[in-house]
Amino acid sequence: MFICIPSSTKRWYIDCAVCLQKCYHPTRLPCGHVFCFLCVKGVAIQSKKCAMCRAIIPADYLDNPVLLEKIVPEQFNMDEGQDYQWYYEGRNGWWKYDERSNSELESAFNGGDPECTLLLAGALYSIDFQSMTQVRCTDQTRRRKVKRDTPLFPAKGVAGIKTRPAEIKSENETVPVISENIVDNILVLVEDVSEAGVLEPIINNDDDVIDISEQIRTIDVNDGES
Amino acid sequence: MAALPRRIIKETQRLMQEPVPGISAVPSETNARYFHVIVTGPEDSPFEGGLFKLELFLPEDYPMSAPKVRFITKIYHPNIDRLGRICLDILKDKWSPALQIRTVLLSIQALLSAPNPDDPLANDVAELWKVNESEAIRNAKEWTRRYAMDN
Repeated sequence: MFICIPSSTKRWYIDCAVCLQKCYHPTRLPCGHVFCFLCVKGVAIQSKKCAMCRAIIPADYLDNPVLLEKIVPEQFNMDEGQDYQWYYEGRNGWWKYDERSNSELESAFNGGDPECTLLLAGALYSIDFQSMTQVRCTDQTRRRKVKRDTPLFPAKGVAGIKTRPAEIKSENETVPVISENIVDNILVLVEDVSEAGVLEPIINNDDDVIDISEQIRTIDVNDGES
Repeated sequence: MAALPRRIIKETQRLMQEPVPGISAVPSETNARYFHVIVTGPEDSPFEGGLFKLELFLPEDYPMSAPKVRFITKIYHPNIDRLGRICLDILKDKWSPALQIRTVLLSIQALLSAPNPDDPLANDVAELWKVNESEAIRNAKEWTRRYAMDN
């Protein structure tokens, strides 16, 4: 479903009130307030209230978030010299870190730091460059692999926002469980729906809260293939 | 030490570049999440002329959870107990990640101007504030002179 909105209403170019940075993947709550997608994800999971007006965020909001911008693959890694993309492991594939986290990871990695701390969706994570793992600082059991690869490596999406390429990859056939959490009735507001090269964002918010179940599923799939 | 989230860096920079009148908040040299705070007593309040020291700590999941703030300087106030703990809704259930260090400290300064004895933390103080407000205000002025005016 697409709704065209005039450019004069682009109010989300102001800073996000949660991270105090430019709104990244601006996402609008039912009360009308706009935050970064990852910031919305943080408050929807934790306080469950809008950070501006304290309106309750519906429990199923993250299944159908209102994204105000298209997810365009070219918008990532546009910076010159940004030759590498960081990925974290998800269910049956890898997610790209969002652009902002990616540049923080790159500068920490290139600066020779042993680790990098990121605030993602309201929780603090530490990425260890030696073991190439990401750990939630307050819960060491929440651990996943990370990697640094070419931006062209096929990923599930960005930071939990699934991007589905126009042509469905055949690899999907070998990993049938991937479709389980895809929600495709997402409401997307864009200004120009005719522009080519637009990927349809599909939110998969379950991916960040899976740990053991993910390992089990991965094992199942691997067993089935071997 | 673990790197600081951008938000904390940004807030700290703004506190330094555009300080709030009557409030100073300086991060500790050893822990950037710990702030030494000084709030001046508001005009036309029993705390006028006092400099009140507080400590403010940003927990790991800040801004998803509220900063921890405590008065170090003794203060006679119905919503602040003898350990310096503050009864203020935005530090508890009314916290929102859109609030900041500066808004929290402004709210605390406003609490000094508007004591609320109906929601007390220091029961004896609140009781006197309700029964005999002028005596309570005299006590508050006396405590301000005694504890908040020495250098």
